[in-house]
Amino acid sequence: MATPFPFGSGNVLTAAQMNAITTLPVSTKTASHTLTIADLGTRVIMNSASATTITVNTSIFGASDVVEILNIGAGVCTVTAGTCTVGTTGTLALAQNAGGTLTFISASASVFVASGVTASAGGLVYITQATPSAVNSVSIDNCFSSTYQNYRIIFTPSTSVGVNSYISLRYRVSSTDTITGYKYVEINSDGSSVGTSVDGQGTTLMVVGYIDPTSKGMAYWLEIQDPNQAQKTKCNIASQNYSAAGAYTIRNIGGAQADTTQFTGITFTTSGTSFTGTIRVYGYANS
Amino acid sequence: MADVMEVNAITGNVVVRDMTDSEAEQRTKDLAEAKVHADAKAAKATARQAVLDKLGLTADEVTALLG
Repeated sequence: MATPFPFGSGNVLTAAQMNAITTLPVSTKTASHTLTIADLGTRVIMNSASATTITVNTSIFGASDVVEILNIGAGVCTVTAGTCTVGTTGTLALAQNAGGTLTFISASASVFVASGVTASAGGLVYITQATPSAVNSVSIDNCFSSTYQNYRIIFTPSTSVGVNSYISLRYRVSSTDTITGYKYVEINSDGSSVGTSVDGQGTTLMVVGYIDPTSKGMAYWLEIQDPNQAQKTKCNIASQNYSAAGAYTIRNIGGAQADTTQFTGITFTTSGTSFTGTIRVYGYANS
Repeated sequence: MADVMEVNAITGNVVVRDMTDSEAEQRTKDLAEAKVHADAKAAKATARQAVLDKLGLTADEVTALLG
């Protein structure tokens, strides 16, 4: 039940309203939201399958004002400093079922304190996903940040078109791919022979895996280290393919991008016609 | 058919669009480079087969010999 909060001069509270004071008014959002004065003293519940933000601006709230935030959706909800600063000792990226209290210490400064144990307290934290459908390339922007040093990407192509073609990666910043400085070594085996190559498709990209249009199952696992640090970005990729003929091929590719650019995104491209699948990005919690 | 997908991890925005001219130009370069590498790989395989033919051995026999 909603309370008549904030109380006004001369309000007469009923027993039910008095009881309801123990329950915060709730404001459910299904898309990114910028906090307004109407959110004061409420619990903002985000419920979205996609990544969202809750933006905090200055001169909306005053010292000691409080807003509760809870994310119940599958998409990560990030408490974002707009014109108001948002301090925290933890993460502002709230995984599903994470939340906390945003307390204002002035009109232009706030502190977010996470409640309980959040997903970022340990292990892998889901960041975002892409579900490309019959496209030539997919770019994921703002998936790398200073929040995490290392990342895992699980890429499952369901279908792909293009015989003798491959899927490659390029790191990006400001929505622009970097097309130089890649070095990588590949080892592959079908169980009876072993093949190797160095920079198998040149140094303007890094190969992720080769396409089998008739595959009964392809999978790529990428471990990426330091993409958003001012140092080389290292990557190791394990992949496998289960061919229509029932044979397994495994492949391991290790390499680096030589720049010290702090990348914020990644692009996957096929040299074939198109691909469809799911790409999920996770961050390794730093502590 | 649109051929580029862009996903923004912060906003959740998803855009599916055609390639820009510069992206199409880069793709042309990528495919040309892929062809160079494919041709080199094919030439290497041909040279390997020529050696096997000269020796009168199959690839499996060479694997058994060296394995």
